[in-house]
Amino acid sequence: MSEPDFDKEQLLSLTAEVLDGRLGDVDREALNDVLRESPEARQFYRKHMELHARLHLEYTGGQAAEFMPSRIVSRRQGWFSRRRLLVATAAACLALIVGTALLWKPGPLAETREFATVESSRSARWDSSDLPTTVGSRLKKGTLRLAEGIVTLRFDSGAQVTLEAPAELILVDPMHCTLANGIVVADIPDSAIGFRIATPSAKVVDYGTRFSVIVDAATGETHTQVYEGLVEVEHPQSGEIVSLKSGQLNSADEKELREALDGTNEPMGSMPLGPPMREPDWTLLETTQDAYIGISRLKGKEVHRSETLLLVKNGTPHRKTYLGFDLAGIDPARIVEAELILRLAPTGWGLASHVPDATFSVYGLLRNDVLWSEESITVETAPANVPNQAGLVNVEVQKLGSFLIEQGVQRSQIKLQDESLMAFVRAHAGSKVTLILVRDTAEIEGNGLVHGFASRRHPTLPAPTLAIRLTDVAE
Amino acid sequence: MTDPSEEFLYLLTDWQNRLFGYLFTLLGNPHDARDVLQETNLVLWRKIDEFEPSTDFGAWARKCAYFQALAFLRDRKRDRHVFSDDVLALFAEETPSTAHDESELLLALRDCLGQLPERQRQLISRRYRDEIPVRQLAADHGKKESAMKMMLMRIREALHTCIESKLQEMTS
Repeated sequence: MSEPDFDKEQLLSLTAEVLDGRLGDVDREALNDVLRESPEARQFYRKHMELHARLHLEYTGGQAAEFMPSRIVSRRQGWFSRRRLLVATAAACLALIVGTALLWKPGPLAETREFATVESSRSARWDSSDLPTTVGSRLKKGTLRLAEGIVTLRFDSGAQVTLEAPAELILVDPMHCTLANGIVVADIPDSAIGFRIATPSAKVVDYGTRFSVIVDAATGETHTQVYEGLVEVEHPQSGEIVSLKSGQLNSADEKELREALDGTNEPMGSMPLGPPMREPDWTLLETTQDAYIGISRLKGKEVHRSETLLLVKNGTPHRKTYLGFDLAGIDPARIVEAELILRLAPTGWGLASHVPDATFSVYGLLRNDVLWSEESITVETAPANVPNQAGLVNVEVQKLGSFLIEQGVQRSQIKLQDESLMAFVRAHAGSKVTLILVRDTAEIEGNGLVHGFASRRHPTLPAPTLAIRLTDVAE
Repeated sequence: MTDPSEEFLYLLTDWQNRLFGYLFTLLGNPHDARDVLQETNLVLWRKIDEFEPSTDFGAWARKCAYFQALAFLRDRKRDRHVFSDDVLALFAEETPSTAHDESELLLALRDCLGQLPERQRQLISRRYRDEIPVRQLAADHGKKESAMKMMLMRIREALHTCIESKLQEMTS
């Protein structure tokens, strides 16, 4: 390629300023001049910006707009004719577009007023969120889902709320928010007295204080603890109110509001929180090899190939995923629990509308001495595979459990815990094992969604993991 | 026979990320790009009757996105604009190559991310996943802010070159 007809270093540096949101007047003029003059410079700029946009999407939520309707139609799949499904799909889609457009349209609507700021963030990673999440961003009504880390928000009322992952917080207005699950620590100055945090089981009203609220993701139970000041916990079901003073704590669930207890300054770690804490006796084994079979070829070339995801599909071609774990050094007598953890991630292929709620099954290969390798595994050579069929050779495998992924869901953590899985791990402890993942549910019509699970080569997501809990002494 | 609205939905979904990239180029920040994308979706949806299957959906959608972007900028204070109107028009006239579909682009990106050296990949992930400002990244790595900006630009350039060659492989 010949030398570019523009100053590449200058354009690189100007582009960096745009991306940083700090383009000054002089630089703006310079940028416009360069791009006005040179088509090559425009192409260069566009490529950089598009890649930045793509990286932004890839790391923060996948889709520019949540578009394909999913759950709305899935429930009634059997009953809906294809035509009606389509109409429902279109209607749901329109509702979505109109809904989001209204939410985003600048104007006097209360929903669009910004009333809080992201003050700081540490090691934070957001799950899909409909609000901007960089430090300094202004926030309006909407939902924040924090997957990892700690983030502090400052409401315009003065209320400071720190969110600890995993948590889901809905911002309502400068004086209200709703904690759907997770932990918040609130610091409320005089200006924000009356600040209210609603939860599925309680309303926590503050009277100038520092306190924390924890909502258990599984049960919706609310735990409130006051460090300083005064808080009222209201039980919406019964209308009862309990006041908490400095050092006191209480809990509430749907049925009852419990009385105030004097806290011990012990952290509330003993309370049942979101994901179960991994005890030290859990051993985590990542795949030593993993691969999928069913790579399509177009004119002899491999297409739809992913180096980082393990693809699974029930349709042509049938894609199945093979996971290899090494159980060397695991004492079978000490195994008390086993769990397979997978990370679902979008593949970008196929239509979610064409695959209903889908059941996946995990099988264990009965023989340990059947060898396969990531490089050479194919539809023909994969152990227990039936080429061009959804199933496996029944006598060579043992079913270890199933899980469901709802229609349209393309990002989540899957945990499979099953007696059969534990029994299999126990029976094969000490050797190398192979697990096979297949989708039982076929697509309704062609071009259905391809599900993808992070492989051990995925740059950002954890590899498929076998978690095994061992007791100290053999039982 | 394919139902036009089904075809429409498929294309609209398929084009979301590319439209976002286009709007991001014109507007210079992701939040404005997202706002205008939503407006664009709404307008496209209203005009579904004008859509003819087998015509160039991308060109149509881009045109609509461009006009929405202009309208958005008109409503805004002048000092927030990155580009003057004539430069915006130049971007709108030039149609980028659209030979590759969304899944190919996504795959190429992921594979190329996977090929980056570990340190660079970490940097990209801190910048984009954790949304850590360049200032902070520079401080963490004991570098000047300008040096960190350049480093990120170079990584993006390397990614871009890698993606182009992947896409080339896919079509050849």
